[in-house]
Amino acid sequence: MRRAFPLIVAILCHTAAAHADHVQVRVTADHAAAKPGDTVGLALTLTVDPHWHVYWQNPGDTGSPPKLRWSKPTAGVADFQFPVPTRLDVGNGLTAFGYEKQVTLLTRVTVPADAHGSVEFAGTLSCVVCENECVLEKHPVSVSVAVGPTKLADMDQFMTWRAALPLAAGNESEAVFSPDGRDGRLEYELPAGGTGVDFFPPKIDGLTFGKPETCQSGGRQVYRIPFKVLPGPAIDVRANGIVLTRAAAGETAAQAVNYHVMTGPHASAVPNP
Amino acid sequence: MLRQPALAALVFAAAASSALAVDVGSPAPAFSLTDQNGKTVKLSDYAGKTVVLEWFNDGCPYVRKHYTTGAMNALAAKYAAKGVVWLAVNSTSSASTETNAEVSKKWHVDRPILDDHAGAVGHAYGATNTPDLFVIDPAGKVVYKGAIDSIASPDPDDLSTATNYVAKALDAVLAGQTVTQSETKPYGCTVKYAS
Repeated sequence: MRRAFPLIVAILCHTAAAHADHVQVRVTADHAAAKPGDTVGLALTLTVDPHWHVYWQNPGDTGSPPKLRWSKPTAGVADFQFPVPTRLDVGNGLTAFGYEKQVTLLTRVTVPADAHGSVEFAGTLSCVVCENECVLEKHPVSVSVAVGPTKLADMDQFMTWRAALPLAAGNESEAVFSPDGRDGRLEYELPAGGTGVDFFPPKIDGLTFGKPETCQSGGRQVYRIPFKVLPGPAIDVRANGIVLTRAAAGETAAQAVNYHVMTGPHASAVPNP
Repeated sequence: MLRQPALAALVFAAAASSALAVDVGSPAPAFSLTDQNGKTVKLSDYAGKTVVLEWFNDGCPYVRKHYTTGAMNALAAKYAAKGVVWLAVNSTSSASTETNAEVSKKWHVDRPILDDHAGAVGHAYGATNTPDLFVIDPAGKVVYKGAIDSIASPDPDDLSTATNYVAKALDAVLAGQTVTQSETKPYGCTVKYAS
């Protein structure tokens, strides 16, 4: 009994002293009321403790992006639109892409065709949040929308949040490879007088990305990010990154960019300029 | 008193490789570290065997995913039955023989957890994350390095659908074949090195 007591106390103390959350989650809907079949925009605002951070869709060398699994009214994994991340130095020469202080992720849900009265959208957000240590936090997410004639809500807020997203991607570009297919690069043609500020690459299994650089290529200014192809199965994927540029006049722009990356004998090979 | 083995490892590793990190196809750097029972474990003890080195930190959610489900223990046991030696290496600066002993009891780890809290062996291999895996063939060459599997998440639900790269590499080595997917990007927490 004497030996068991400290053990019981230890277990209770461990449970009671569970870590306080490092992220607070708030959900906002862009509709106060919506009709069956309508799409409702949702914003998940994550407020992060000082010195901690959460991750972008491509987390970089460590971590994982937040993941929202819906349970009501239908099960599924939410697709997020992420604002422009920042580059985070996580030590030992490693880099993560993510957010400090606060970030608002946007997603969409559909009001079920048979909904009436009000509909609750509920699920669980799994969020990896790190300082020196990493913690996996799970937060319940729930927001209710009345079912009825459309009534928008928080329009100014949503305008601000949507403006923080990168500009929609234009046409897809092909990744460029060295003749031996072992390295390559994703390229973005800069506007006249523009400079590249940063290039956030997509997460592509089988590639490791280096640092972005600006090059001259046939009279054009090209901003590019090099990659190394890791030994393994052939790759054929389409993925998005974000390019940050600064115009001659000084304003920065964040542009989503679409790339098709295909390795193997049919891939396009261009000698390095 | 506990610093002695770490110092020996530091000197050994420093002598063995001047460049940090090891390429696939290169000889695996030698080391001598203490396990959770205070026993000295050297890579050279396993010459002629297939060895897996698994960078480990019980404080990391990505490592917990593999241990609280029993998945890592089951994988190591499956390949132990085929003669593969599986060693966990803890390069976390706050790790010690004592903390490794506690976690090996808590998680029923019946194989060595090596104390590399000074970080010399981690740096010699270029281990960047936990988990970060290296497969060494019987000739002492690194034939795989990188992620344990294909889904970079801390979610146990992802284990059953992920491709286990280490299992595939081991199957190839045991069959006398070349490991085709010999390098992947490791995922997980960063290794919490002392320096």
